[in-house]
Parts: sequence; structure tokens; C-alpha cells
Amino acid sequence: MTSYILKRLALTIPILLLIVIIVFLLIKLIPGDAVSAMQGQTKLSAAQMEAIREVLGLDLPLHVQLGRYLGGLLQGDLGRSLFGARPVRDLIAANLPATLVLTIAGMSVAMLIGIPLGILAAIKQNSIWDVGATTLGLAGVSVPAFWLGLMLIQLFAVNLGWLPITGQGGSSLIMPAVALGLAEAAIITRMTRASLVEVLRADFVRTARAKGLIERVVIGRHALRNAFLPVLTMLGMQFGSLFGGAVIVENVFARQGLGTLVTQAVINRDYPVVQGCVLVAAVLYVLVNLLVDVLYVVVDPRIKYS
Amino acid sequence: MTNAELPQLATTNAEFTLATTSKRQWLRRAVRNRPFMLGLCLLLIIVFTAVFPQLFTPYNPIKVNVPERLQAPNMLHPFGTDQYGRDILSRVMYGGRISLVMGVVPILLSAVIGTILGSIAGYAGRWVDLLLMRIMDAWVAFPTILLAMAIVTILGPGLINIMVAIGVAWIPYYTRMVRGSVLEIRELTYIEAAQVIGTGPLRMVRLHILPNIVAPIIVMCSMGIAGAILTGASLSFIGLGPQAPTPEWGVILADGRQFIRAGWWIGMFPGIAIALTVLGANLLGDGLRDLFDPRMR
Repeated sequence: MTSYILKRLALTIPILLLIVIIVFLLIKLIPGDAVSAMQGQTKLSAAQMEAIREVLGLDLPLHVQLGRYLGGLLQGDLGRSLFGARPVRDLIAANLPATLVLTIAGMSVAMLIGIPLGILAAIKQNSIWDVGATTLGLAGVSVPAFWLGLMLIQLFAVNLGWLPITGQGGSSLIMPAVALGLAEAAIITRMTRASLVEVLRADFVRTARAKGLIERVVIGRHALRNAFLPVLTMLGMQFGSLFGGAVIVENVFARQGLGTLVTQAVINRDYPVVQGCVLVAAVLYVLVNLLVDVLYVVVDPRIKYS
Repeated sequence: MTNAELPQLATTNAEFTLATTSKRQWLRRAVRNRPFMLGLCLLLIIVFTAVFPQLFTPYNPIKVNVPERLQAPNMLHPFGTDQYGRDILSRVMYGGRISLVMGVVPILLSAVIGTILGSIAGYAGRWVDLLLMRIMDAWVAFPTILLAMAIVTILGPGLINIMVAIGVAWIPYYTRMVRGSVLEIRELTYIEAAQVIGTGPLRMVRLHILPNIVAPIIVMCSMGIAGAILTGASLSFIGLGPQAPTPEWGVILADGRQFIRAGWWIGMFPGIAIALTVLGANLLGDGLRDLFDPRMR
């Protein structure tokens, strides 16, 4: 397994390199360059702009700039914000944990709702439960997370006064996590149902039933474990959309996090901050999917990696 | 699709056997397909109200009417009014125009570019495929919303820029899907036959491959529209899309957030409009998939 992880890590490196190149080139697409874009914020003379270009290395050939950018990244240098000149690394380090907590909380809500509903729909196939879970699933993917957040605020904070609208504490996490997790719960419900229905038709399930095992054991010990692999894959893939959703949901609940940081940076056209946030999100996505690949072995021991 | 093309489809793609039945039979199946019909009806109603809002509401969606500000839903204003006295029903109906365009245009953009890239990767194979697919692997690692936000940073906020941003962010999904379909079709005998008679790569893709992967592209587009509407509304909601007073669902929702205590209705109705449109597009996509993919029947 260790050799598999090492091989998988080695395969991840070119992807990470491409991600860095895409992020680097993205900023090069700015009409003019980052310095001329700063002109909108502060009035700079031509000499000042030239001096800043020299300091930032923007006058160097593109491949040299890329090399410097990569070198900086290896030392954890993501550049400096155009506003206040704080290192982007520090800004991200201060905001990322809150977003990760929200993303994980959203993922937990999605799993807590989605997996049981999916199982229920699969074992009670074509019943009222199945129709209910499928309908809920369809409704869940159609409702925008930020709107659901507003409605939750209206109900639980404004009308009932049970939960705080904003804040960073435990109770203030409930509404954002539910708003974020519900759409993902719908996707997980559909995936769990589809996967379990397929597995329940398999020969080994029929054999388990023929052996006289009770239904709970057949499903819990035999079917679920096999049905969980596609769900796990889906969870890894959904990390990106959950993380993106967290960015918007943070704005609804005025929570501190990468979402509010990047939104402000986009409005201010603070390129280094946007660049840093996008890079961190993409790298996290790759790492989460690497983790999911490794978890396959735990979920399904038949999978052997050479 | 013309009738002349149907027999060719039947011999070329086992996966999507649109051609095995006549158009009339296909339509009959479509009418019987509940998700398809429900989604289609829902979308037609929304499109109709967005195109002809004046049939349902006499109010101008951007005209300020301070004496009628923050009115709860009533007979004159069924969805209430906002902080400037503007009728929410009018704003939601007129706003549908922009929100629907924001759902369709980016998907067309990404479908066209994705189809071109996917066809190149799938047909050319070898290093072209390897290179393009690794770029796509890196591309999908970026959360759609964040990548769109980064592109908006470069282009600046606004309707057109936001559509470009969403379109660019979705390209890899179409590229991957088209590439997969092309790889599958490339191995079929009729492609070999076409190669033997000297058909060039461009002609091969245009005449023999693309017509046979239209069905999965249509299915993906209809589901993609749902995602694009959600992404577009999210970006507008945080102020990166069309700017106030333009009536757009995300913009109206952003107003609703500011007046959540004084006017719950401001945010309620545009959210329902988004949810119904997305539901319609998802149902239509589900229905189309069932209709095009015989295994789902």
C-alpha cells in the first residue's frame, strides 16, 4: 500500500504543476498587467509603474517569471496582497481553517442525510419512501444554497430566535452547514440509492439471503460495503463544489473565511490574493481525491494496488 | 436531425439508438416520459413569463415608487415590493430573461469549445490526447465558482464577463465527455471503413463522429443549464454579475438579504424562481437521458 501511495503521489505532482501553471497564466491574461490594473486603485506615474514592474519581476521573460513563481511557492511564498501588502500566505492561513470547518460540517450534514435516505430508498424500492427520497433529492439539487441559507436565517434566527445569524462559534455553524450540505445530500442520496440497488441484485446478496442471514446483516455487512465505493468517489469529487459553495454561503452568513476573503479580493481586483485562494482550493481538491483513492483499500479490501 | 440521417445513426452508435425508432415513436415516448414532460412544461412556463412579463404584471421592474416601498404580498403586488417600491413579481419575471440567458450562453460556449477539444483529443490520440487530458485533469481541480471568480477578477464584473467565466469553467466536463464518446465510436467498423476510403480527419469528425455524439451532449447541456443558472445566480448574489438595479434573480436575492427582517418576500420569490427553473432543467435532462439511452428504459 505504501508503494501505491508513493506512486499515486508521483502521479499527482504533474497535475499540481499544471495547476500552478494555469493559475500563473490566468493572471497573465489581465489586459496590460497587474500593475496597470492597480492604476484603477491608485494613481501611479509611468516611472512608478515601471519601478513596481521591476520589483515584481514583471519585466522579465515569461518562463523566468514562472520559474520565480514556482520557486516562491516551494518556499511557501504566495506573493503579497496589493492592499496592505500582507503576505497572501498569512491571509489564507488566517481564513482557510474556518472554510475547511464549514466544508467538513457541510459534508457531514450531506452524509448524515444522504446516506440513510439513499439506503431507505434502495431497500424500499418503488415504495412511497423511494418516491419521497427521490423527490427530496431532486428538490435538494435544485435549491440554491445561498437562498436556503437566507430562508434558514428568516426562520430560525429572525422568526424563532433559536440560532445566531452570524458568528464563528458552534451554534452559528448549524445553519451554514445545513444550507451547504443539503444540495450535496441530494446528490449522495441519488448515488447511494443507485449503487445499493445495483449491489442488491448481485449474486452474493442472493447467496447471503439464501444462507438465512437476516436482512439487516445482508445489507449492513454485505451490500453496503460494496455499494459504498461509488459513493466515496462521489464524496471526493463533491469536495470541490462543497468548497465553492462554502465560499458563497460564508457571504450569506457574513462568516470569516476564504469566501469572504476571495470575494473582497475579486471586488478589489487584488490578483495575488485571488491567485493564492484559487491555487489552495485546487491543491486541496487534488489531495482530497488522493485520500479518497487510498481509502478505497479500506472500504473494499479486494482492491489491491501493485 | 433529418430522416435521412436516421438509418446511419442506427448502424453507428449502439449506445444512443435514437434512430432505431422513427421520429413519431420517439415523440410518443417523450410524451409518456413524465420527468421530460414535467421539466419541459416547467421551463416553457418560465420562459413564457420571462419573454412576455407584461401579460402578467403592469409594473416597470426598475421604476422607483417610494410610497409603496416594502409592501408585503397583496392583491396589487402578489410578490410584494422592495425597498424602492419596485414590484417583486415584475422584477422576478423580467429577471428571468437575464438569468435564463446566463444559464444557456455559458453552456453553449463550453459545449462548443469542449466538443472541439474533446474531438481533437479523442480522434488524434497519443500525445495530443495525453496533453489535453492532463490539462483538463488540472482544470477540473478548480472549484467552478472559484475559477469563475478568478476569471471575473481578470475581466471585471458584468453579465457578459460572468457568462464567459462560467463557460470557461465548464469546458473540461464537456471535453472529457466528448473525448470518451469519440474514443468509443472511433473503434467501430464504419469508422474503419471510412478511413479505408480515405476520409480525412476533419471530415471524419464532422460527418461521422459528431452526429453520433449529439445525444449525450444535449443531455449534458440540459443538466448543465441548471448548474450554470445556479452558479450565475451565486456570483450575482455576491455582486460579481449584473449590477443593481438590473432585475436578475441573484441581484434581487442580494437585496433580500439586506432586508431580511423587514421584507422576507424580497428574497423568497426569486429563490423559488431559481429552484423551479433548475428543477425544470434537471427533470428535462433526466427525461432526455432516459429517452436517448435505451438501457435506462
